[in-house]
Amino acid sequence: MIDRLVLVGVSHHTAPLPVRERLARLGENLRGTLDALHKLPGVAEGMVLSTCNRVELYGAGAPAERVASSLRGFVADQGLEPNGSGELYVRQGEAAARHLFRVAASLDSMVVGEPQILGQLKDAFQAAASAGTTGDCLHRTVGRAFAVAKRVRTETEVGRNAVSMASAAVELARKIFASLEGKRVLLVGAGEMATHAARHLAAQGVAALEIANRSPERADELAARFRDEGRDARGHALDRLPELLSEVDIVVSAAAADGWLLSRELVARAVKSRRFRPLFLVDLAVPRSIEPAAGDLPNVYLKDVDDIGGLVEQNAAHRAEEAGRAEQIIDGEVAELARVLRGRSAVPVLADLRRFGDQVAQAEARRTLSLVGGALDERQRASVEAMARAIVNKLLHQPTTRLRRAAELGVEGELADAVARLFGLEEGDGAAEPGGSPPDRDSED
Amino acid sequence: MSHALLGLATLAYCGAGVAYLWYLVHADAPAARFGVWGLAAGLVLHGAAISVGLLHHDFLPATNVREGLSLLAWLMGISYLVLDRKLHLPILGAFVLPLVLVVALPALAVPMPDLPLSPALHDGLLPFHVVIAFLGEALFAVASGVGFAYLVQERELKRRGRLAVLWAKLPALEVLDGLNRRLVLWGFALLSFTIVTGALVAKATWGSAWSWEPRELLAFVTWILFGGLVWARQLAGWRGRRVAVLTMAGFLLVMFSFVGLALCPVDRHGGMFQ
Repeated sequence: MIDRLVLVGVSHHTAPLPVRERLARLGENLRGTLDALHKLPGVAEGMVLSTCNRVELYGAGAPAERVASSLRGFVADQGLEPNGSGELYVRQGEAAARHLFRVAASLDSMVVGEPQILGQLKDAFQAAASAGTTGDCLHRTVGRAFAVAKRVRTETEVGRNAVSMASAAVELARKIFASLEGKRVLLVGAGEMATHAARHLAAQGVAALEIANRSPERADELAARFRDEGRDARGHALDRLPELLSEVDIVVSAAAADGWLLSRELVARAVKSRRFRPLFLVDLAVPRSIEPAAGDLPNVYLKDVDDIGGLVEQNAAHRAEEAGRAEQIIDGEVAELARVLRGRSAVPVLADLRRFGDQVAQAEARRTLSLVGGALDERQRASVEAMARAIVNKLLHQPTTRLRRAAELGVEGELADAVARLFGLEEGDGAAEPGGSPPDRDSED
Repeated sequence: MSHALLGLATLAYCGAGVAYLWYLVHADAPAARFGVWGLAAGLVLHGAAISVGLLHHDFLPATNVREGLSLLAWLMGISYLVLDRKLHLPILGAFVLPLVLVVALPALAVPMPDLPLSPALHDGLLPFHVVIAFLGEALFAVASGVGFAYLVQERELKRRGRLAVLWAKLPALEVLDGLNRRLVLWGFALLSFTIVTGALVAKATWGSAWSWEPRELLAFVTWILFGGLVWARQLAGWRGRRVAVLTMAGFLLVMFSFVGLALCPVDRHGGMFQ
C-alpha cells in the first residue's frame, strides 16, 4: 500500500521564492485545491502542505504512476513547467514517505529543527481530513509522520538549539538595535506566523506591539490576547500603515497580499519623517508583501524569508550532526511503515476475509431483526447488530492476526491459501460478495 | 635605544593586529586574548621608548614627526585598550590595530633630524597642549576605526540573500554608533582645549594668540568639522552612516594637517616643534 503514495512539490531547496509564490496560491484556497485534487484521475486521496518554504501535494491511489502524472499536470496548470529546471520533485512509495517524515521532523526545513512545520502539517492534514480527501494510506503515513517527529524531537537535539524564522529575525534585529527593549514593533497580519513572531519579540521586552490587519477585528483580538499577558498592544486597520511606519522600529509582515502592502514609496515617506532612526523590515509573507526596493533606502534594513532562512543555515554544524541521527531514526521508521503497510496489503485474502465477515454479520443481523425487530426499541436493535459484529470479529481475530504477522515476515503464502480455502474465498471476490459493489481492495485494507 | 624599543613595540602591535584579524575571521577566543596581550606588551615597550626619549630631551618626545607619530600611535593603543577593557569588544581591535600600525610604522621609518628646539618649549603649558592634542587625535582615530566597522556592519546587514559571516561577530549598529558619538564628543572637547591652550602658549611665546598660519587654520577647520558633527548629532539627530563617513573624513584631515604640514616646515610650529 505504501507504493500508492505520491508526492509532488517545490521547496526552498529546489525553487526560488518567485516560483514558490506562484504555487502558494494553491494553499490560499485550500478547500478548492483539495476538491480539485480529489477529482484528478487516479487520485483517491489528497493533501496539500503549503508553507512559506514549500508547497507539496501528497496523493495516494493506484496506479501510482497515474497519480504522479495527474499531480504533475495539476502543478503545470499553475504555470510551473513540470520538467522545467528540476524545481519540481516527484517521489513515490517509500521515498515519498521518507520525505514526509523528514519534513515533519523538520529535517527538510530551512531552519532545521524549527518546530512550526509540525503544526503546519497537522493543519494541512486536518484540512484534508475535513474536506474528505484523506483515506487509509494518508491516515497511516501522516499519522506515523507525527510520531516520527516526536521521536526525533525527544531522542535527538535537532530541535534543541533550533531557531525559528521568528527567532532568526530577532537575532538580526539585535545587530541593528543595541537592545530590543523599549522598541516598538508593527505586525502586519494577525495569522499564526505573525503571532509567533510577536511572541518572540515580546519575549525580548519590546515596548509596544502594533498589529495591523486587513480585518481590524482580528488584529484587535490578537492585541487583546497580548494585553491579557500584560503587553502593550493595539490593533489597527491596514490604512493606518503610513502613520504606524513612522513610529515603529521593527516591522514584521506576515500578510500575503496581491500588491505590495509596503511599497518603496510608502517606506520612503516614513524614512523622511523618521530622520535617521533605523527601520528593520522583516517580510515573512509568501508572496512577499514589502517591495524589495524599500531595502535600498537609507537606514532601512529589509529581509525576506530567503534572507532569514539563509542566515540560520550558516551555523548548523551541531544540528547537522544531530540531523544525522534523526535520519537514522527516519530510515528505521520508513522501513517499519513499509513493512506494516505491505503486511496489510500483501495479503489480499485478509481484506476478503474481513469483507466476508462483515457481510455475514450484517446479513444475519438483518434476518434476525426482520423476524423479531418489531418488538424491539432502537437501542435493542442496535445491540443485536453489535452482537453479530462482535461474534464475527472474535472469530476472525486470531486468523487475521496470525496471517498479518506471517505477511510481515514474508511467509504468508501457505496460510493465505488455507484461509481462502477454509472460508471459501478462493473463487474470487464474487463468491464472498454476492451482489456487492466491485471490490476496491486497496481502499479497504 | 628608543628606536630599538619602538621597533619591538611595533612588532608586538603587528602580532596583535594579526591576532585581531584572525579573531575577526575565525572568532576563536584565544586569538582575541593574544591580541590584547600583544597590544599591552607593545604599549609597555612603546611607553619605555617614549620614557627614554623624555629623559634624553628633558621634554615630551614630540618634537618631530617621528616622535609625534609615535606618541599618537601610543595614545591610540591606550585609548583602544581602555575601550576594550570597558566594553569587551575585541572585534574592534581588527579595525583599530591596523590604524595603529599605519601610524606607528612611519614613525619607525622616518629619519629623525636633530633640529633646534622651539622657544615655545619653555612654556609650562606646552606639555598639556601637546598631550591633549595627541589624545584628541587618538580618539578621532579610534572613532574612525569604529566608523569603518559601522560601514562594514551596515553593508553586511543590508546585503540580501546569504549573509556573510561578519555580521554576527560585529556589534550592533546602534552600539557602534553610540561608541562613535562618545569618542567624537570627547575628541572634540580635547580639540577645543588644544586650541585654547595653543593660543595661550602662542600668546606667551610670540605675543599673538592666533596668526592664521596653515596649522592653526587646519586645526580650526577640523574643530569646525567635528563641532558640526557633534552639533548635527545632538540637535539635528544625525547618526549612522553619514556620521561614520564624516568621522573618517575628519580623521583624514587631522592626519593631513599632522603629517603634511610637519613635512613642509612653513610656520612657527615648524617641522614639528623645532
